[in-house]
Amino acid sequence: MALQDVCKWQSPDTQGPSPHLPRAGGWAVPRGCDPQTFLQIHGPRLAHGTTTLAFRFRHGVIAAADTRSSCGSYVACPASCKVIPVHQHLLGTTSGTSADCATWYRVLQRELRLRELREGQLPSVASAAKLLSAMMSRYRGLDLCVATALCGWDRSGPMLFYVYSDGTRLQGDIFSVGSGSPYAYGVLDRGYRYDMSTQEAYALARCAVAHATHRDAYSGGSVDLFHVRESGWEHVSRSDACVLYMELQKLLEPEPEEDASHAHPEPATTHRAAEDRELSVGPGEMTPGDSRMPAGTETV
Amino acid sequence: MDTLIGIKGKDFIVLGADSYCINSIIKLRNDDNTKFYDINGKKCLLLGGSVGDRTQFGEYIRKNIHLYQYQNSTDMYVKSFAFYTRKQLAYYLRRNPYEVNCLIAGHDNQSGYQLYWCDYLSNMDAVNKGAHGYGGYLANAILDKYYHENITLEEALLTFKKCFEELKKRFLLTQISYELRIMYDDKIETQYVTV
Repeated sequence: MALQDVCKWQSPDTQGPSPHLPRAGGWAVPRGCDPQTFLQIHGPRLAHGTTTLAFRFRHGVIAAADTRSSCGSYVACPASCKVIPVHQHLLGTTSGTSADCATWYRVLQRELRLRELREGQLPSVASAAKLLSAMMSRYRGLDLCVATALCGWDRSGPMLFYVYSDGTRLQGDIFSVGSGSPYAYGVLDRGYRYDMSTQEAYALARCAVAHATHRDAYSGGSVDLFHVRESGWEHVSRSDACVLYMELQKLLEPEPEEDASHAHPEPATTHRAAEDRELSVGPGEMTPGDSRMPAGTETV
Repeated sequence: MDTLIGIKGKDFIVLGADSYCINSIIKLRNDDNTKFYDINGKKCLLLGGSVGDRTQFGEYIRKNIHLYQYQNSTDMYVKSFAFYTRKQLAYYLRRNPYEVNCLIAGHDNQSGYQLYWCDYLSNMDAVNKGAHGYGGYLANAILDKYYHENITLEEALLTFKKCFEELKKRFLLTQISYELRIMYDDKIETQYVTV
């Protein structure tokens, strides 16, 4: 372009971060190549497969997550814990890159503790969220991936913040993060009320994660359930996701399940039949498209 | 994609934006009120774009305007505010770009009510009416048709309503919930509109 030629401006060759970016404070970054390229060339294929959710209601904040850590198509750990305690009244659900989440949560724990010592009281959940967001914003463009929901109880009651490493910081009532989040939102949005009882909230959270693990390939393992009350956080339960889903199906389906050899198509269709039954269709009727596959048929 | 619309009259400015906070295909919030950054009760920065970028950029600009005020014991003029915002966008454009579109509005004693349209590439111009986003495509023609030099506040609000109804009718995404900032009489009022 004309102006470029006049000014003799040349586009930089490398895709690396400009020297104007702040140095990765405190962390050693390999010289010569920038983190993005380094990870692309040498790093493992990081996937962001998970289902975590959190919602606040009258009696506190519920945090639930699956426990599958995946690395591409490989399940690195089927029983990891994706809910990290920060202090007695603050939990964080983590999604994105596990290493980034773990590191930044340690940093957050340290910062909050220092502030507690300096100021004499723990910062509120909103401050913790802002702190985390501000710390991560210095690394904009360096491919950090931390998508987290901070669940806590502070002076203003139960609070929930969603913080993402691109700088997003949102307060809300319901958040679900990860590849399984659309499925979880579907179940959560239909069952959520601020005035739920604690047992209803536990059931809703477990149900949402179980349905998400059923549909999402990158979520599975078990379902972790945490509850932040006024007195602090509590690990309520860890239940196997498949078992939980089967139990949820049994709750809907009064008749015993047929023919255990049809493992996969069966639960889906009976589940849908049960749902239709609840709405308007009579028992035994199936809506079109719900065709049950007989044993001998093979479809490509 | 955020829809931002602004109309400036002789003695008022109305800014409007949809109240959805989106991340890929999911609406994180249906009542998002973090697109507007009110500064000192006389200036307003309306941002649209990805949530992280607009949060970071909006806070950054707002705090710097406050810093100017404390350092110099006087408010920035709207023109300076707009030029400062544009300059910052331009500075980061080739370093660490912020993908935000802005509408900058305010009132000062020097030049009255002013509205500036600034896009993510830091193109900026002083305008009487402007819109950003996919919704802005639909709204621009309506603004062109119904705006006139002596437009009143009521007419402007009606024009906004026309824009919102058009978006409801023709825009792919369902955007029925909007937030307005109305600046007149030295104050800024917030209104929520559902179409």
